[in-house]
Amino acid sequence: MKLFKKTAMTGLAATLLFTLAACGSGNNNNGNSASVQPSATAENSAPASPSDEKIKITMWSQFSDPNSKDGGFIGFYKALEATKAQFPNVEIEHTGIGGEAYKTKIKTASAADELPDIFFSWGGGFAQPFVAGNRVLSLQDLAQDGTMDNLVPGTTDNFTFNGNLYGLPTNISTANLYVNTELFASAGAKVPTTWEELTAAIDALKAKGITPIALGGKDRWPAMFWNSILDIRMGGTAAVNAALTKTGSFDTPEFQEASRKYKQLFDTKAFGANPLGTSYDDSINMFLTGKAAMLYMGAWVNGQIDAPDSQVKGKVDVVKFPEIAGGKGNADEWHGGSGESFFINAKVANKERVWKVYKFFMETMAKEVFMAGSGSSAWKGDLGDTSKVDPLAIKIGQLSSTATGFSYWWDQMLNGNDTESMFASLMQFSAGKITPEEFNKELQSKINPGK
Amino acid sequence: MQQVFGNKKAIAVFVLPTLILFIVVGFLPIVQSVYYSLLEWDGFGKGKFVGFALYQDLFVNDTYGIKFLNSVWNTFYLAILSVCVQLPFAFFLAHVLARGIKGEKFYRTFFFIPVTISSAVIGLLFLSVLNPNYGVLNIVLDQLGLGSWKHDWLTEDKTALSSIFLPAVWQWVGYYMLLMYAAIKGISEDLFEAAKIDGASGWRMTFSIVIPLIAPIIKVCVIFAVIGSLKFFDLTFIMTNGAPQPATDVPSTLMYNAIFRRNMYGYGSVMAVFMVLECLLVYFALQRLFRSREEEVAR
Repeated sequence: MKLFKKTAMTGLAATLLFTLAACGSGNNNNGNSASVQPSATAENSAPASPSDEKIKITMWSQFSDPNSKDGGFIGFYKALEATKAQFPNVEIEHTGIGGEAYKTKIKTASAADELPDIFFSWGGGFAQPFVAGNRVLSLQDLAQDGTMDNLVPGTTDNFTFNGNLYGLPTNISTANLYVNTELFASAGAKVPTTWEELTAAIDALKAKGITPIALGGKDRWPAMFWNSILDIRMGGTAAVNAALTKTGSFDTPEFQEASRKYKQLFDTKAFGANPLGTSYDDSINMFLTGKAAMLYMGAWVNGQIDAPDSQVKGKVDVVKFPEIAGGKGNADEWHGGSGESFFINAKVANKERVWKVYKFFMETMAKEVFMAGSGSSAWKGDLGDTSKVDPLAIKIGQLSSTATGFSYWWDQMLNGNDTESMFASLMQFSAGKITPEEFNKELQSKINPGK
Repeated sequence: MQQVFGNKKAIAVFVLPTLILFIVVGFLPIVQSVYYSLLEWDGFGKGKFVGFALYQDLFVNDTYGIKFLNSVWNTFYLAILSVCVQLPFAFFLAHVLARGIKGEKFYRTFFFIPVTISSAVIGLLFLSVLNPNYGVLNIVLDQLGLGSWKHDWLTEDKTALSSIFLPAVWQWVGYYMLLMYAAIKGISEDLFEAAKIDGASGWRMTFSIVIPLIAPIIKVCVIFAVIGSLKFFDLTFIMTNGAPQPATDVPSTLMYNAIFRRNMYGYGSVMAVFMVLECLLVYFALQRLFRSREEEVAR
């Protein structure tokens, strides 16, 4: 019996210790966040020379690796250092979490109302719940200090909800038509500027045994790129954006014609024999090894195309996507735009000072990311010495400088549920299971039901 | 020691840690899921209580075109494949190995290797084997002059599901083989000798001695195979994630997508609750089936 008591007591003690420890750590967390908040508000309430007082800004981003070779990462860290140097009285505490984990982290932090002062986010459908939940500071009034005039028109669309601006843009990321000029020359094809020239080039390349276009349909979103740009050429960016933001329709004659063209590309094997079984990586390899002649992809492939060991380095030209006769969109309407931003916490202290730091940081990052070759700047103004920037990036910057409209990636514009529905329909359509007309009807009924 | 284990309170104390752990990580989440399944909740902010509306939508209206019941049939197809192909094959291997064959240890290890490899690796391995452009399978078919048999295996409706399930069946054969092998090894040699003296053939010995004596293990294998099939997730998730929708969807990938891609926690929870109930029901049904079989045999 004595033994039993001993065991029981030990067990009980262990259990208690365990629960206490668990509670303890929970309290610690609460304590931390609580201690930050009051000190910040205390600063705000002290009116004497607020600009000199030292403040601390917490910041989260998906840029987790300071040594990354990715242009976005390089630009972010350069801008962060520059901002720290510019504002010696501001301490910026940055936490980087990479990949999908970042999305989970800010979603959970938002649910618990524990977001940092400034945090990276995507625009459109991803940002919607944050804005709807009053987690994000509206910048509508703050940005009237002349900031809006410094931005390329249309770059704030993805961060504007109900007429209120919630984030400044950094860079413009566009999808571009990459053309392997060597393969085009060997097939005697002309770099296309119209739909007819594109189909003629496809026929010429096929006759030579070259896969005309590399497409990684297995990953779904590369197929979405082709569907989007054809919609943009036929209907124009305004119509596409209206459909995506639930103020327009997918089921229009223009979009149906665009879908028939999309089907035509699949039917004529423009994407090769097995586009739906080819992954994004496989498709990029096909283009980089000179097996496919065209690639419609975002500017992030510039680095791979112009890498020192690339087989197509110097042989690739980048052009605007061809115009389609009879379509409402012109060649200066782009698939892409500005979709990544940083948001300010709605409950931030020292709004005015944080805004200054934020504005400087965003503009610097826009330029640094462009310098690193990953997307044009959404901010107007002199960029300085661009001689070391990737030539493809410079060409894209020139091409898109006359842009009259942008329509961003559908899987970012739409919310998660609509994105999955859209992909499901698109894949059925790509596999030829539903007709172009059925596809557009399905998009409309799933994404904009009852309209 | 005898005293301690005779004491009911002591038993309670020793059971308590496991019980708490089981309740916290096993039972409470299920209860929580049932609660979430009654909410329309996007994972942010507060959910709206909607009762059984989501159940109705998933099984009857299907607003989002998910075709959940189709995915349930897919897992039953896998269960049938498992029980009718995998287990007989595993039994065959186990029987051959256990009754003595040259290199018994080698083959035992050999067939068990796929079980030890992570499903992620197997998924990627078969992804490249089945790749339409450079996959081994299509190349071999080409070389054999069977070019017309070539397929884009994982994207065509007719081949996609089997292209995922066959690797799964292959992967777990070794596991069931080992279970049955151990059981057959445990049968006393005397029985076989006696049967031989009575003039029993090899077939006769298999059906009258081996199978009846390892029936409990076969029962365990069938339950594992069926329940495992109903919960199947990893290879589908890695190889197609349901594409070409809805041909290779299984309930667990749909649940994952509903929660993490569509931000529909309530909807995903409905699927989770369904899977818990489904597995429990099937388990009890199998138990009953075996019990009535046992009674028949006993009579």
